[in-house]
Amino acid sequence: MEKVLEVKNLSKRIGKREIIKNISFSINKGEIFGFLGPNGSGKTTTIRMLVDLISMDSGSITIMGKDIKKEREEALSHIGAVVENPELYGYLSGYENLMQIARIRSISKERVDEVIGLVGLENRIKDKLSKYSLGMKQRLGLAAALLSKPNLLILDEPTNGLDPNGIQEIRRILKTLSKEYGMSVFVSSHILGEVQQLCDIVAFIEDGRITSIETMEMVKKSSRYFLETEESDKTTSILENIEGISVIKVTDHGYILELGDENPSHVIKQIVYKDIEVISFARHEKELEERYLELIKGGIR
Amino acid sequence: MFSGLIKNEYIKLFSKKKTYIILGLYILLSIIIAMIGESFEKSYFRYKDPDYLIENINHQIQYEKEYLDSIQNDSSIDEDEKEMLLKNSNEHIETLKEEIKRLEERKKTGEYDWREEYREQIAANESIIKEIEAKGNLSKDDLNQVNYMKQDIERLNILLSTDTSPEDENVNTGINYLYNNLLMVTSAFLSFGLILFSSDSVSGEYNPGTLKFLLIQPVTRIKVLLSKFVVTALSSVTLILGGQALFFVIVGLIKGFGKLSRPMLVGQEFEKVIYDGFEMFQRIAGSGEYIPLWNYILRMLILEIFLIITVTAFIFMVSTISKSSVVANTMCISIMLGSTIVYNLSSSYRKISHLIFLNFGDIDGIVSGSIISNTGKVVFTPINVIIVCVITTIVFVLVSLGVFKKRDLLI
Repeated sequence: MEKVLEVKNLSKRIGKREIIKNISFSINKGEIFGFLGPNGSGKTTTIRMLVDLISMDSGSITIMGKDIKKEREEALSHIGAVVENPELYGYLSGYENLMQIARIRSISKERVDEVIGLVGLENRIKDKLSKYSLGMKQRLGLAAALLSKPNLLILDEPTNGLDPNGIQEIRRILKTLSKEYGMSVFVSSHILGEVQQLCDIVAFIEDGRITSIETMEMVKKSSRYFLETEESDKTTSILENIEGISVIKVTDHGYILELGDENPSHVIKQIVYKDIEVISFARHEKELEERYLELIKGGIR
Repeated sequence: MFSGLIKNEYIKLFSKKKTYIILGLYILLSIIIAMIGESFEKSYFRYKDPDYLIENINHQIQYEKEYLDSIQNDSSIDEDEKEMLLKNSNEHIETLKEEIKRLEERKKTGEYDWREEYREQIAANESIIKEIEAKGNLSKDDLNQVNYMKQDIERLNILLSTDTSPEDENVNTGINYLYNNLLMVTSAFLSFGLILFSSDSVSGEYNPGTLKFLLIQPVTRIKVLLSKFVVTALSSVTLILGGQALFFVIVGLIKGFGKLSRPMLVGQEFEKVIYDGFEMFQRIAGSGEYIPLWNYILRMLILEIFLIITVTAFIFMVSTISKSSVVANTMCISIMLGSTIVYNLSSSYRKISHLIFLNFGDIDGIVSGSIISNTGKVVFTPINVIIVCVITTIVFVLVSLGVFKKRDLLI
């Protein structure tokens, strides 16, 4: 699989504080990579280093095989990014803001119009940016990042200020870009729902360290099963005697069973055999939030 | 790519309201300068009106007579001295009366023959020179006077040969307007106008942090910064000189363009003299040469261009380092005001002032050479000023680039 971004042993110190501590990760072509962590964990600092707004103390960043330090301009030519807030020129129109980037990157006016259509800003594009809502600014920021059809799109909290429709639309656009055009997307966020619905891979960052990098399947994977049945002491005692169930927890409509490595078909067979009235039996998929709280001590600050 | 950056900077500059406000103020200043020229012209004509002059001389005669009376009645003055004073006073009254006669004549004919007056002045100067030279064994003072007279004859001869009347110097013509504009703009308004115009060129992009968008594009930081400097400097030069050219034409079309060949003295030389225990710089009589006014103004314009670029480079450097427009503004204004104050207070600072661009506002003094008498620095010449401007600009731009290239952008 083609590696679009490769970060190796990246560290950064600002003043006396070590902000980023030896982090490494990579993003493949077409992947949507979530960068999840509490406020102040080092997400934006990492992004700033990815686009060379700040220098790194040690480590390396390679974009499409180009080192950001040694071949800075070539590396940046593959990136479209919005770092923190989409701050563009308030006294220029939305269109002129995009043209500013188009002129630097030699992008055609047709492409500018195409991107404006993609983010749905056709009706307001001639207005001054100072009259835009935060959501519109987010869309324009996304448009600016997309202008050059980058191989890697870097977005910092991209749904800040968007209404639910807007969030859904941005999600749809990003998924299309990744699936149909093979664009890789790096999204930093502290909003769990956003990352869960959007990303293929998620890296958990806390206090400048990446604690784990997992695919969304791995995150959701669990050996807990939900047994829907009428709860009674008799049923509880039967379940306690079935081999393979390590933990039993009573809930409103039945039981949550922790099976460990036990084969679930073997367990369900015994449940049915011992005359427990089963309404349903299903694997309980873990939410990202649970995994987040497992990995990030202290949870969301 | 660089041309794209340049175009971007121009669009940004001319999309800001501030640019138009400063332009408006500049036009207002240009109009005020034209009005000052107009009022100068009016008072010139008023003072040369024969009626006004006659009235004035009559006042003088009146005063002189009162003085005569007071001397005659003063017993404290001894007789010999009294006699001499009375003689002088009477002679003075006679001269004044003759002057009135001449003016009455002029009133009658309605004409003022300035050529004749110049010729008379030349003849008078020549006769004084002859008188002094006849004495033989000339003292330094005598030589000075001779040289002074000779130079004055040269000036009068040029005025006659170029048919330049006294009016040409005093009427609000296009060329005189341009001269006054250059004088006032460079000495008082240029630095502050440039601070307003360009102090936010880099610092303004820190808050809000639009600089981030610019720096994540695939262009080097050096190109980004250079494009800003080129556009700021070029726009400043174009707008300031454009305004001056525009008003030169407007005033010229309304009031005539004036005599471009009027002689102007440049390259004056000075010598150190001790006067009343103070060290002073005195012009060496007869030093310097006359050049036509157009050439003089051209030299002023060239100096102005170099000055604009250097001041812009300085403001640009402060703007790059400070990260905040307010800080940049305050720093630039403080440094410029501070320099003026120190210049006036400290003679040691004046002695090194020829090396510091902040003291180059007096371009008239630099072109004519008169700045040497204020600073005591004979090397304060137009060429040296240009060399200092070029070196200073290069240093400022290099410092800006060095700081900007390495800086972590935490905005």
